[in-house]
Amino acid sequence: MRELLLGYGSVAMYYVMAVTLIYFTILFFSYKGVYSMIKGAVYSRFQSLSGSESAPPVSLLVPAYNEELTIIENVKSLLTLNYHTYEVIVVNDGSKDNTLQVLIDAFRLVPKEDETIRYSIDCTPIRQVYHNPAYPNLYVVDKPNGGKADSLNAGINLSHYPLISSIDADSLLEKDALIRMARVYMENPAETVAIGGNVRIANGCTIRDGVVADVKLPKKIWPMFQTLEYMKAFLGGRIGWSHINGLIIVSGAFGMFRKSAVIDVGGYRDGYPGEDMNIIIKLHRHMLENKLPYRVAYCPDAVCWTQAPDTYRILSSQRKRWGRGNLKNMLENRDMLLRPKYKVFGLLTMPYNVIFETLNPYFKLTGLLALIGYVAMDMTQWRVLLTFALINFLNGFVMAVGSLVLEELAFRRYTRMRDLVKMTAFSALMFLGYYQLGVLWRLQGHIEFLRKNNSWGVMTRQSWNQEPSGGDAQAVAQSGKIA
Amino acid sequence: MSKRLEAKRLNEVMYEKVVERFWRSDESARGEPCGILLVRCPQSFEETTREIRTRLEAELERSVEAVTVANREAAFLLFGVAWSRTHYLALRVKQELMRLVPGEFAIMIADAGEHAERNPRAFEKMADLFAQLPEAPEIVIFQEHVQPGGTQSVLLVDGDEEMRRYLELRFRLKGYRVLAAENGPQGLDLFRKMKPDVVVTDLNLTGMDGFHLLTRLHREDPNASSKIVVFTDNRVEESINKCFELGVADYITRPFSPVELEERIEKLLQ
Amino acid sequence: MHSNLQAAYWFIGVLVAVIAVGLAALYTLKLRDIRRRQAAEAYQAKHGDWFTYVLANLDGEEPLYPPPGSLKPAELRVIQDKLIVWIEQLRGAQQAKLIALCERMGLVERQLKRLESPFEWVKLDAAYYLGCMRSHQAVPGMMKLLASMRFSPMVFIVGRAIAKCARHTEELRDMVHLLLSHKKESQPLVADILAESDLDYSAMLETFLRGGDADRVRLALAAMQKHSLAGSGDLLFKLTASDNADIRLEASKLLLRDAAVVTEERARKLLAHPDADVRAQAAQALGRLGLKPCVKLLRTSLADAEWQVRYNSAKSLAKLGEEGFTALCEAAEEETGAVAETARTVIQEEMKSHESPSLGRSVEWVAVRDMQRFVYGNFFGQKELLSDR
Repeated sequence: MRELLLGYGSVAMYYVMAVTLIYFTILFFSYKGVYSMIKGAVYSRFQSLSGSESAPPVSLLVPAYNEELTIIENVKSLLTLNYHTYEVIVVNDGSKDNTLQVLIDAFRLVPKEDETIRYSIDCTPIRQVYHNPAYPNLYVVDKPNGGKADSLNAGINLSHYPLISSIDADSLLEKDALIRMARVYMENPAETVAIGGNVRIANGCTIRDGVVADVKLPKKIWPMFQTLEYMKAFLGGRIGWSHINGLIIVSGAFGMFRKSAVIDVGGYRDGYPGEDMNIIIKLHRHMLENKLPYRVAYCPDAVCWTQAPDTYRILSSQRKRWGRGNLKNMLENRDMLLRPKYKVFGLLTMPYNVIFETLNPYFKLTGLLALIGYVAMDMTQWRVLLTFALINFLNGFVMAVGSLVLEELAFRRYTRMRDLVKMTAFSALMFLGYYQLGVLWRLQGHIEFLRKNNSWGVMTRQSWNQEPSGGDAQAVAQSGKIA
Repeated sequence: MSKRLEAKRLNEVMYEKVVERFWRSDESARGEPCGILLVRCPQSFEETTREIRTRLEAELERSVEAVTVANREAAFLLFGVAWSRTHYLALRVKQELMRLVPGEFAIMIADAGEHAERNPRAFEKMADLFAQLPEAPEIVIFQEHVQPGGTQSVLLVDGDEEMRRYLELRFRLKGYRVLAAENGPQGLDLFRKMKPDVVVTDLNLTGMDGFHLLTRLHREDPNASSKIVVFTDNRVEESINKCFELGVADYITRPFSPVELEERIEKLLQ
Repeated sequence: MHSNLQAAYWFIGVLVAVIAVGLAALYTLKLRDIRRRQAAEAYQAKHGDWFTYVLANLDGEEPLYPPPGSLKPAELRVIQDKLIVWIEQLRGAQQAKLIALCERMGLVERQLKRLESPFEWVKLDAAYYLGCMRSHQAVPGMMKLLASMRFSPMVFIVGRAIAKCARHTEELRDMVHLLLSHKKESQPLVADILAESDLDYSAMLETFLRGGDADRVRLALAAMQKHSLAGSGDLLFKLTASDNADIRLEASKLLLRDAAVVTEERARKLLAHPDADVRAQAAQALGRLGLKPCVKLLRTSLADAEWQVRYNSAKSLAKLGEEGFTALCEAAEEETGAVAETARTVIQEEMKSHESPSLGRSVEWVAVRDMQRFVYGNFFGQKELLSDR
C-alpha cells in the first residue's frame, strides 16, 4: 500500500515537473514572439495609421445584460476610440433592469426604421434597433434574453463592417487598442481570422473620462492575485501559443474577428459559458478541416482594462463557471485530440489543455493525498511531502517571475519600484493558498457540470466608485466577468 | 516706484541707441533686422555683462552694442541679426548665465522691428514687461505685432499636449488670442463662454467623440459665426464629407504645413 | 525511490537558480528603466528652451542650430526622438528644416553607420530613424535589409522607411515587389506605406493595373482608394471581369465612386454581373450617385435572385426622386412575390423614417418627404397602410 502511494506521489511529482518544462517552452516562445510584436508597435505611428483609409472599418459588439449602472460611461468611452471608421453596437440582452432605457435617455435614441436586418446567423429575433444621428456610430439593439453568445450573434447580424470585435460591457478599451489590433490584421489579412487582446485588471487604477489615467496595483488581495494571474496567462502564455499558432482562447473581454470566418462557423454557440473559447476552437477546426492557411494572432499591446471580482463569492463563482466551460469545450471537441489532421492545435494545444488545465485538479489533489497518506504511515518521510510542496511552489514562482520579466522588457505599465516589489512578493504568496483555491474551484466547476448546472452564477454590478484622489476621478464598477 | 523709473530709463537708452544707429547708417542698412537681448541679474552684474558681451562678440565675430541701467539690467542690441539667430544667441547667453549666476537672472528676447526709430512705445512696452519678469532660468519671448484683425481668438481642442503648445506658440506669435482645451467637454465649455472666432479641433478627442462635438458646436452656433476648422489625422473621404455636412469651414489633415494652416485660418477670418 | 527524490532535488536546485537569475534580471531592468526615464526627463527639461527655439523658428531662411555645448549619447537620443516626432507631424519647408538640423547634428551619419551593423535589430532601428529623416543615401542599405528579412511585422517598418526616403519610382517599385513577395494580401497596408512617399507614382500604379499580375492589380486598386487615377475608368471596367472575385468587387467599387464614368451601358452590365456582391454594390451606388437615367435598370433589378441586390435597388429607387419612388410604388402595387415584398419593405421604411423625431430636417428633406407622401398617396390612398395589405 505504501509503495503504491509513494509511486503515485512520484508520478504526480513528475507531472508537475513536466508542466514546468512545458510552461517553460511556451514562455520561451513568448520571448521569441514578443520581440517583433513590440518593435513593430514601437516603430508604428498609430495616430497616423488610425486615420488612414487602409485600416478596415470595425464593428464593436457590446453584449449588455443588467448593466444600467455602468453602461453609459462605457459606451461614451467606446465612442472616443482612436479609429477612423467604426461602430459600437450595444446588444441589450433582455435585461431585467433599465439598461435599455438609460441608453435611450442618455443618447436620445429613436427607433431606427429604415434598415432591415438580414439574419446570416441564427439568433433570437431582434425587437428594435435604436439610433441617433447625433451619435452616428452608435446602435443599440434590443432583443429578448438569449445569453451572451446569442447577443453577439445578433450584433453580427446587424454589423455593417468586415471586422468585428467583441467587448464586455464593463471593460474599458485604451484609445489605441483598436488600431493596434487592426495593424496586426493588416499585416496579414490573408491568414488572420482572430486576434486576441491583452486584458489587464483596472482595480486600483484611476479612471478619468473613461480612460485609465494612472496605472496602479489593486489594494485588495483578490484583484491583486488576479492581476498577476492575468499577466502570467496573457504574457507568459498567450504570446507563446500565438507564436506557434496554437492559441485556444481569445478573451471574450476583447478580441477581434474576421466576420466572414465567424459566419462560416455558424457564429457563437449558445447556452453555455466558455463561448469565447468555443468560437476559437470552431475556427481552428473549420480552417484545418478545409486546409486553409490561417492564424489566430495575439496583440499584447492592445489593452483592455477590466474590473476584476473583489470578493470571494463572485470570484469563486466566476472560476467555477470557467471550469465548467472548459470541461464542456474539451468534451465536445475530444475528437480533435492527438489527430495529426489538426496539426499544432490537435497535437499540442488540446492535449496540453486536457492534461494540464482540465485534469490539473485531479492530478494535484490526488498526488498530494497519496503523499500525505504515505507520510501519515511513516512520519520519518516528511521530507518527501516537503519536496513535493516545494516543487509545486517553485514551479509556480518561476513562471510568475518569467512573466514579470516579460512585462518589464516589453510593456512597463507599472512604473514604480515599489509596485515591482509588491508584485514579486505577491507572486510568491499566490502559490501559498490562492493557487490551490483555483484548483479547488475548477474541481467544483466540474462537479457542477456533471450535475448539469447550467446557470451563469453570481454576477453583481455595483455603482461607480469615486476614487478618493481627484474630483473627477472614477473607477469602474465591480463585476464578475468572463476572460 | 523705483522699478518703474528704471524701466523707463532702460527703454530710453535703448531707443536712443536705435535712433543713433539710424542716423549713422547709410540707406542700405536701414530697415535691417535688430535682435534685442535683455538680461537682468542683481548679483555680480558688471562681471556677468562683460562675460556675456565677450561671448556674443566671439559668436558674431564683431563688436556688440550694449546698454545698462542701475547696475542690474542690460540690453544687448544686435544690429543686423535676425530673429532666429537672436533666439539662438539667447540660448548661449542663458548657458553662460547658468554658469555665472545660477538661477539669479531673467532673460528676454525681442526685436526692434521695422522703423523702430519711429516707435518709442514699443520699447516702453518691452521694458515694462521685462521689469515684471520674475527671475527664472527661462527665455521669455517678447513680440509686439501688428495684429491682423484686432484681437481675434482661436480655440484649440487637441488631446496632444505638445501639439497644443506648439500651435499656441505659433498663433500667439501671429497675434491671436489663444484658448486651449485638452478634451471635448472642456472645448465645448470654452466655446460657450468665450465665443472664439475660430475653433481648431481634432476629431480624436477624449470625453466626447469629435463628430459629436461638431454636432454640438453646430447646434450652439447655427449661423456659423465662429469658423470651425478640423485639424486631424483622419484622412478618410467619408469623414471629411461628414464634417462639411456638420458645417465645418475647413478640413486640414496631418502631417501639416504650419504656414498653410495659418494661411487658411487667416483666410477664414477675412 | 531515492532516484526519484534525487531527481526532485536536482530539479529544485535548477528552479532556484533560474529564479535567482530571473529576479536579478528583473530588478536590473527596473532600475535601468527608472534611471533612463529620470535622465530623459532631466534632458527634456534642460533642452526645453532649445526646443522652443526650434519650434518658434521653423519658418524662414536662417538654419537651425544644435543645442549649445557638447551632448552625451543618451542626451542625443532623447533629442533625436523628440525631433522625429515633429518631423513626422510636419510637411514641406518646416519638415525639411528639421531634417537639415538632424543632418547638422550628425544624426543621419550616425544612423547610416548603424545600418552597416552585423546585428539585425540595430539595422532595423537605424532603418526606422533613417526613414524618418528621409535619407535617400540609406535606400540601398535598407533595400538589402528588406530583401534579407523573413516575414514579420518588421518588414513593413523597413518598407515604410524606404517609401519615405525614395526619390525614384524604381525604388518604390522594388520595395513593393519585396513586400508583396510574402503573399500575405497586405495590399491595403502597402498602399498606406506608398502614400508616405512624396513622389508621383501614378504611372507605376497604371502599369500595375494594366499588367496581369493579380497581386499588383490588388495593390493598385488599394492605392486608388485615396490616390485616384485620372482616366482609369476603362481599365477599371475591364477589371470588373477579372478572374479574381475580390478584384472584380474592388474594381467595381472604385468605378462606382465617380458618376462621370458610370455610363448607362456600364450600369446595365454591372447590374447583370454574375457576382451578387457586384450587383448589390452597383444597385446601391446608382442611388447614391443620383443617376436618374438608371431608374428602369433598378426597377428590373428588383427582381434579382439575391435579397441584398433587391433591397439595395429598392433603396436606390427611393433616393432617385419622384420618378424613382414612383417606380418603387408601381413595383409594390403591380408585382407579386419577392419583388413586391422588397418594394413594400423599403416603402414602409421610408414612410416610417418621415415620422421619426429629432432628425435634422433640411429644406431638401422636407421636399423629398412631401414628394414621397404624395406619390404614396396616389398609389395606396392616404390612409391605407402598407402593412395592412
